[in-house]
Amino acid sequence: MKKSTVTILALLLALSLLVACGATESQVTDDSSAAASSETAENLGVAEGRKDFILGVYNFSKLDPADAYNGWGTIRYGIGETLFNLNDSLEVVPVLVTEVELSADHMTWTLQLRDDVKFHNGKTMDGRAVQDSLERLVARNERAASDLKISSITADGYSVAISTTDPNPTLLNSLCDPYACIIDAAADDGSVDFNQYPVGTGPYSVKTYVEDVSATLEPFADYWGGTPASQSITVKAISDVDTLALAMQNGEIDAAYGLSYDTLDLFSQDERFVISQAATTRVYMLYFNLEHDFMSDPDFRRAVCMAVDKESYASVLLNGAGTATKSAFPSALSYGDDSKMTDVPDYDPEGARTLLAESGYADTNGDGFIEKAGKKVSLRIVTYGRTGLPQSAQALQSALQDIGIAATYEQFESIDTVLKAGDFDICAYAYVTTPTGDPLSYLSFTTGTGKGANYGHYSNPEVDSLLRDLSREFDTDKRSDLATKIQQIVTSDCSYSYLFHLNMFMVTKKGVTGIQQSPVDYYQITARTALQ
Amino acid sequence: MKRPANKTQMRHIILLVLTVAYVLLSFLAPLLMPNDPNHASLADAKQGPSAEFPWGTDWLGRCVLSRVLAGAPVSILSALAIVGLTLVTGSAVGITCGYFGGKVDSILMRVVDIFLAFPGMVLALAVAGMLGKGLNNAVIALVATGWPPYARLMRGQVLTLKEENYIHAAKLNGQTTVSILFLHILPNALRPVIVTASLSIGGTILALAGLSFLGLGPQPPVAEWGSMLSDGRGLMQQHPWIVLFPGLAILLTSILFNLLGDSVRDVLDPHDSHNLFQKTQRKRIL
Repeated sequence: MKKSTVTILALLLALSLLVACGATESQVTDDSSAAASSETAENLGVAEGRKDFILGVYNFSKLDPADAYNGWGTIRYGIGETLFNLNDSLEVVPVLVTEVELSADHMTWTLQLRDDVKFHNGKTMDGRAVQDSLERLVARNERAASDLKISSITADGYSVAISTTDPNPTLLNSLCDPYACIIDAAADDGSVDFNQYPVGTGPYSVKTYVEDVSATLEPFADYWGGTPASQSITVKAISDVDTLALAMQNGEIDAAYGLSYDTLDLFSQDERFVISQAATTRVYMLYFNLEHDFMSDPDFRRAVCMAVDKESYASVLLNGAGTATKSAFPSALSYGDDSKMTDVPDYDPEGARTLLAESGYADTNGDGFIEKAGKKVSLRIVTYGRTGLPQSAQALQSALQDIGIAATYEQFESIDTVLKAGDFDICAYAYVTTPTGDPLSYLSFTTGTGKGANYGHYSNPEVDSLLRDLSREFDTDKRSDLATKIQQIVTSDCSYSYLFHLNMFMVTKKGVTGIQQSPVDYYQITARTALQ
Repeated sequence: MKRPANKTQMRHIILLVLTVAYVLLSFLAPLLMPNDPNHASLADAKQGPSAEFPWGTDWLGRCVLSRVLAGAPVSILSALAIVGLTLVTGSAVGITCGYFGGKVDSILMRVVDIFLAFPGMVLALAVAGMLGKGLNNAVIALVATGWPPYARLMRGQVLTLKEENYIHAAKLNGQTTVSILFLHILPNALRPVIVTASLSIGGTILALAGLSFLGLGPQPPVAEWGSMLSDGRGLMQQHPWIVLFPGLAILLTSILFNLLGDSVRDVLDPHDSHNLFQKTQRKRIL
């Protein structure tokens, strides 16, 4: 019997290891605080032994703002700043700039810079430095180049004149995008990797950076906005959201970003924590591959859209942290008015079945799934790990099965290669639609013929022409009408489907100041961030 | 001296009956499901155990009991298939090496050495990662990395057996190599291999659940215990039943198969024996 007892114990151990599998990641960089915290999980006082502030994030970023979306990290971690910021109503407000002047022909913007801003290396941020930074950006980032449309930049003392190839009504908005983070381009001489040690103007500079693990930041004494409040800040990568929640619960980290929505219940009932929530412009949407069989049929797409119970996705899958939508933009914005999206179908699985039957789809061989012209309908649904997406995609798979459509589901670490290869029928995707407080960038990038994020290969001359108009229009009301019109067109034949908008949230320990969830998802660490 | 042997045999018979019943039950499991295991109903999501859903529902509103039952054949039959395939492959390589020797033996045994140099699960992860997700690939990965111990064991058996007088007699008798291998060597060499195989079923169930926990097993919506654990672990604190029941299923199943493995060893490898043949046989095994 002794032997079997040992067997049982060994199995229990093996099982507990299996269950704990997801929890191993946080241990990678562990210091003594983790060991201490496991003993005193009840008592968050462990933090008192540390002077540093630790932010746990599920999507740890590289830091060269000109590369892809890495600027999000540069801005979020308080390392760099943009010339302008968006306030909570998504309006442009100056940060490193004191005055703005637009020429009469709408082609040249003259910016007067603050004269007290220094880079981390001690160099003063003058017009020349801003010019170099923006020129480096435009040369390296296709998205920035197409947003900014800069033809030339001239600098004179603390003033910069930016000329554009076309009138660009959204130039200032685009300068709020994290890619436009001002860095000392001259310091990028090959001696340091800007993806790890960028030289910015923010309250913190990078002391040590370990790829995919953590970044330790030190305060920048010459910060123009005053001395930063924390002696040290660590940004820690905890890509498993369950581990992230556990790390927050046992006091290993002081703030957590990217937690699963299911943990909202856990933290809201716990007095040791504060939840800060904000409605963001991140939309959960479906890309349809318009070049594939079946998905190219507007009636079929409409049936797919009718199978989606957006309200329940938002309330159940996201635990109430979502708002169902018909439009790409939140209803708080004038171009996000759901009542104008009249052609977007409501949830109606019965109607979907009828529509499929009317369009010639039927289950002729009795396997429970429909065919058309002898060909079985089989869709490939793909997505990636952002919380809410795998859930939505699997709910969609099940909903499609209910109306007789067979679908496979696959989740990828990195979805972009799959999307670029066109190797999908439906992709559940989360997109920040107004990162800079303006609809143009998103609409153009996703619906313009041949554009970078137009993974479904949508192409419509009418939309292309409206996008051109939008890119030149300076009148706010007319911009709003154009943006609404474009959405009406792309949703009229269900080429795109918008599911819900997301409330982002951040959990912090009680007593943490100067960091909260912003409606603009890329402001996190500030000069005031500290653990009191 | 006779009683312990009887006790061992009794225990073995009980466990064998239990296991056979369990495997049969897992075949029948799909018939016992109270609900459609893949039917999602968001209105019923994350509910505790009730009359309609005896073990509660998961995050998509699917019946946990039905999914655990639906996962039984997947887990158990796949594990049996993996063990069967590793046994056959490993034994075939082992017999070839042991009986024919020479260059073939040296080369294949070096391959075995290379395989044995890596921790099995890590290797299986790598292979499954390369092949891609899916149940078939997970099975292939575990077979591809699980055969070397059998090859080594079988080779050792064959090396000793082939010098036995009755083998020489069979050769002199003019029997073909094939009949010598299958009629004389295989039956006598099989015993320790069977013991190893039966001991490894429990571990294989865990390994398969491990792969699928990491997302390399069957893809949604297919119910598999490991992936149910993985899916539900974010809700472990709020809705424990979502992970509790699949976890218990894994636990019970692997305990049962491990106990069976133990008793198979005890029976095939008796501690007291009046039989000279068995005694010598046992020495060889050890």
